[in-house]
Amino acid sequence: MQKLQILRLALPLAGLATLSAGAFAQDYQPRFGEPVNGLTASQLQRFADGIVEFDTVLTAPDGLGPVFNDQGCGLCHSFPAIGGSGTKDVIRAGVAASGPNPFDPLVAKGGTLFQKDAIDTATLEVVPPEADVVINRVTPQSNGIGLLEAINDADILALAASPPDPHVSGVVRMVQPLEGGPMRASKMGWKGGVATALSFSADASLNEMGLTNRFLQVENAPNGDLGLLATWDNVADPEDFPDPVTGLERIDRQADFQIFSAGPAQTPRSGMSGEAVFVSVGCAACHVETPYVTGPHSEAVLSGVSIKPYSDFLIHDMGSLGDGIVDGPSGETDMMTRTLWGFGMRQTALHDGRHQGMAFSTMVDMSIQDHAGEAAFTVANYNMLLQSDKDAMTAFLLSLGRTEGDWDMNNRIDEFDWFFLEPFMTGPDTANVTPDDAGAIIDVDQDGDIDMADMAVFQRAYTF
Amino acid sequence: MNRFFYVAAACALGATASASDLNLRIESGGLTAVTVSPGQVVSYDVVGELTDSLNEGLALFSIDLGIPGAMLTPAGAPTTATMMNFDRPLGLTNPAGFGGTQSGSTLRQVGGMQNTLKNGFAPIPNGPVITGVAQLGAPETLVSGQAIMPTVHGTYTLSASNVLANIIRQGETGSPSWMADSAGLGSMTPLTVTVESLSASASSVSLSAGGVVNFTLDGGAASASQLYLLLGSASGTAPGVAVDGLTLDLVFDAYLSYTLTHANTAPYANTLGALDGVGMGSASLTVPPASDPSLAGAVVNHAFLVLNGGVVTLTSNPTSLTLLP
Repeated sequence: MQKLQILRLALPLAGLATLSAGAFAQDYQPRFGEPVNGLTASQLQRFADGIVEFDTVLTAPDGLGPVFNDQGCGLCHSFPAIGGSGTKDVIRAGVAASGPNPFDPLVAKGGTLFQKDAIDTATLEVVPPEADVVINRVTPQSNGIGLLEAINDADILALAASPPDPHVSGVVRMVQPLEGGPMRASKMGWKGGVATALSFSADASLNEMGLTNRFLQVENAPNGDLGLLATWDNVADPEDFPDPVTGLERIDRQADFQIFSAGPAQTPRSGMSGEAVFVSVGCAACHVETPYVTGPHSEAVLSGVSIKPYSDFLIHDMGSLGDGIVDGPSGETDMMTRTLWGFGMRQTALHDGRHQGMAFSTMVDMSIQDHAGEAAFTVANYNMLLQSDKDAMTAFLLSLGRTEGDWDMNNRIDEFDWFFLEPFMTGPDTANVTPDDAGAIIDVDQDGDIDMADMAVFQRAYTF
Repeated sequence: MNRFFYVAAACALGATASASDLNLRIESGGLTAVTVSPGQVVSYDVVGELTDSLNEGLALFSIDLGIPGAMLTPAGAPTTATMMNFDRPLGLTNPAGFGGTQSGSTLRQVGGMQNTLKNGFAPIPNGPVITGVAQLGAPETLVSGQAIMPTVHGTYTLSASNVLANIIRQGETGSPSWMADSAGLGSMTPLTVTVESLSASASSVSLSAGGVVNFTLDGGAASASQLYLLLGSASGTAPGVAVDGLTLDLVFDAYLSYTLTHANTAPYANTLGALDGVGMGSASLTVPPASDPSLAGAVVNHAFLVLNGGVVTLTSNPTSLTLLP
């Protein structure tokens, strides 16, 4: 039902671009799972095909396994809609560095990633007993990563060269996209390492679902056991293959969905006092608040878009918040700044999802307290804040992921939202609604009043 | 099945994405240009019609109405069942109501929206949805109201701006709710209102044959029973004569002096007098036969002013009269 709703809502999006210029100064931001505004009909077709693929459940004959974490992208990336984050996690393990011995990624035992499931119990992986670093990584959201890959690398390099705060000193992790082309700055991965949506899809297809593809054709052997692999991997590699009609493989369709999916909304779009607090205590030294304007992209609709992912995409030494895994040049304590867009609609916090199932304000507070390393100064600053400032900052973080009119933050705009929003109507030209006011979530044009201009948008955004 | 749905939905985009535009026409008594008396109250209707049938009718509209130089009072509450569906409580409007929020001489956001939300939880909106409103071929009177025209003669334009409109998406049946899309602004035909206080029975007169030109003076109700004086100029209308903060659109010349000093004297009749109880009056100019042919080709203008307690309170528009051989 949710996906039907998304498609139902997506129908008019292509048409918006053809409207008379200036018909509406501001329209609603897409919700989780919806495409970016302004797609052509053919791009929407690819987006729609991508949803189908993202939601496909693979079985062994499709190439699933022999070891995998789940059978489909959408089974993990599901909250609050397809492509979102999730509570499901994966296991990474290794042997910590000791004396002259560096971190051991247990290559002979299958590498640092130990899949949780298998097509047969015979191939189930176990974490080797010698592993003394065993951590979880929770499902990140994949919405909007087309926009992330469109960020100019120069912007990331500039942040590394001139950090906005002297306490931080992030580095760019340049990587080679699997599909070729020049080296690019990482934009994805807990420790960096992925720069494009297609690389992300190819990597996840292999490592999360066991689906070899044209870029990654070597199957993961269960705990490194090639004999087991030979016995249970009965689909010829690469298991992914081109659709005879479109020529696109599964990973292409998965990438299409993610490329064209909109980044998380933010409501109010700007001006909350809590954002100023967020900046003042130093959070924005890494979770940069300044928008990026995306650079050239092969899909022109993704170019020149102003986005606020709240990340510098740099690798920082996070001290005790590091996950202890070594991944290429990213060491045990190194982590890439996680984007915060959509944070208000995540079920977990931090890379291992350690904070979940609690009040949002508690989750925020505990997550901040866990920051260390380069972020230690921020924690100290945060702890000196008045509670009212902490509350304002929490309210700001809650705005990340909310779309206009979504009072109860369930990614739907319905009559339950309207029940709470209706009393806020002011009529035009009152200009007394601030971004911190409760009614601001329906002040779409942020002109300080809630009037028919906002209602016109609300009516179109309504989902029931 | 899922795949089929998605693909079908995406492929349908081309057809459903076409933008319906809303054409607006503001009229008074079915006309988009009217001439009225100074200070007259003019009734108007805003008629809307969508430019295509790729929709299920209007879901929402909101327009600003303004007529610089004149005054608008909040538009009336709708009285038809169709348009009542856009007004509280069946529909939704700004707190000031369907008739708009007064902002100086402008009415902001006149209009409302239907309950496409199918809201049954909050107090408003709580009505049903009527489809087909203002669809192509079925223009709908969206708003009716009145403008109070000034006493200063001239041409005034009542127009709509900041037009917002949503349509009910084609094929929607209201299950679970009615999806709405934006409509663009198509054409907008304003209402032109000419405030005219002086008219003449003829625009030319023959010097050889002679003739009578009758003037109708309409000072509006506010000028009832007040003194008037009709004057003329053979030198045009600009620059006019400034008087008591108003401008009489006649160039001061010898002819004007003559009409001033020879009021109610042949060839003039009733050029000085009192307007009647509704602000009306009449005067005339009689050109005798075999008048001086050397005047042929001359153009004379006439205008009148209204005096109240010695102060000029109204100056009329000029009318021109061409003297023919």
